[in-house]
Amino acid sequence: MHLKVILCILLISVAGQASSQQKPALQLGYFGSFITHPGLRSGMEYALYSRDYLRESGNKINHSEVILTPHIGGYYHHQNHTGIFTGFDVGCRHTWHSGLMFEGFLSSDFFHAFFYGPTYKVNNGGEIEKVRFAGKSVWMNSVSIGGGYVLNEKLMWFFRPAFHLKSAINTYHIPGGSLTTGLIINLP
Amino acid sequence: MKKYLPILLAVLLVACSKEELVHEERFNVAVDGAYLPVHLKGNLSSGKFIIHVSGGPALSGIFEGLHFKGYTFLEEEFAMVYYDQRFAGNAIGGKREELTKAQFAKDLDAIVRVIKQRYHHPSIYLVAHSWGGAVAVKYMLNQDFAKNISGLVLINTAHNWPKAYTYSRAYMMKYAEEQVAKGLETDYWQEALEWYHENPVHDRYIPNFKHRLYAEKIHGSWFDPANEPRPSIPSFFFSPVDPLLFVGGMGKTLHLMQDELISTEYSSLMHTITTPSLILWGRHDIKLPYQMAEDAYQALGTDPAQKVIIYYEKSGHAPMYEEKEKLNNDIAEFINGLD
Repeated sequence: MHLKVILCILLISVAGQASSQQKPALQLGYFGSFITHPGLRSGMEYALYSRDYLRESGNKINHSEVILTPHIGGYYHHQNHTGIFTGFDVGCRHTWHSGLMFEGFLSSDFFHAFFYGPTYKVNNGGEIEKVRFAGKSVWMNSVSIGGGYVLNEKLMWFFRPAFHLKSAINTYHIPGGSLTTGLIINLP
Repeated sequence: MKKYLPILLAVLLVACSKEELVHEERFNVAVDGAYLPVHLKGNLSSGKFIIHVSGGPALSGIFEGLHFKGYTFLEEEFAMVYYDQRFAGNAIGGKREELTKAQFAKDLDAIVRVIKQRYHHPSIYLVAHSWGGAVAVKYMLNQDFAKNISGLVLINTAHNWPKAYTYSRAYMMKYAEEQVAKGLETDYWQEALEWYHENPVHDRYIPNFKHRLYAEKIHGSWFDPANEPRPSIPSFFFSPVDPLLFVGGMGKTLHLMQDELISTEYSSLMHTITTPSLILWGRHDIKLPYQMAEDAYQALGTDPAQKVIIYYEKSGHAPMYEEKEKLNNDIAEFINGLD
């Protein structure tokens, strides 16, 4: 737990450092937990390292970068729960001169689920009473591999399937999956 | 136009009448650190609530109810209550050391109390299947709990695991001997016979529990294996149940609860249960054989006029799927007969 907090502080400071060197990009997209449970995910991309490769044949340029993305998101699983999460992605992206993009990320999030419907408990007097904001918080670690296409100088479309592990639910590591798709907007 | 109005109204009335009766509601019950999801479906205004105590351990009662649909006929007349036991389905929270029948009975009591108070003190019935029978019987052995229950339905229940194993073992040994005599898969069934000779009782956790494997080889849970309900793809993607949470923990919970399951021996205690009871048994269940129906009948302290056994001749372990309509009708008749 302490290690994760220290890591978060470290990443924030790295992001701050990176943002002072290069303009960030805004990431905004549909987040589908298990594809079909709809939600949104948004983040700010900071390039920690970037490099352009000039091809021998001429002026075509490939681009690689290492990216840090603090993000926030949430989704709704019908009649089950509403999930919110916030954390960081760290990964690499390679963009070919053709506009095609390939990327891979590792993520760590704080995740909280608000249970669907009212929650009751039986008090010591045998009467039922409502439990407000019943839910469960866990850490969610993810790995994702995605792709996309550069639409123009400002916009890039991306899609990113991800595999999650939520720890610990009922003392287990519970797997999960999601698909995020949306736009990366280069900020002016 | 006017002359068609009565016809239109009649059509609307017929179309709506049945649908309006079937409602769904969902709430959670917090008990001892766990949150148990409870899904109600059916005629919530009937004043009769049937709680399905699911099998497993570790099956999702809600997934069973909503996707395997074993009780849809009952939903038209009564309120069906599906819930996930702790460490099963989408139940969240709790500790491993709480995976006991006593805790599960306490959890069930919390659900009963919430239903009583939330729905203006309806009549409550328990329909328990397989492992759920161990939970329901444990619950009914507590007199304070039992007074809240108007009727008990046991379906192929694991109320006495060691005794069920003796019948099941005898069946499997006879089957293995027949296969060896016929020269069919001789090595396999000879090995099975040896295993059964080495394990005359099942009163401790046996890793790689081969009895289960042998029974499953001959489809010991089903009269017709084609009747086994299988979740459809939409049921995974659009279900109120999180399938990965359900499946992700199922195997581990089943493993953790083996000792709790095989230590269940309630036949000698069930004489304290006097609630009207219906015992339903699939005749071809090899793991919990039909002789256990008679065992439950004799063990219950219920007046003979208020307890009945019904066997399902075309069912194995789960008659609610193999002879669904008949089973639903039998339960409805039992409940309505208690009025």
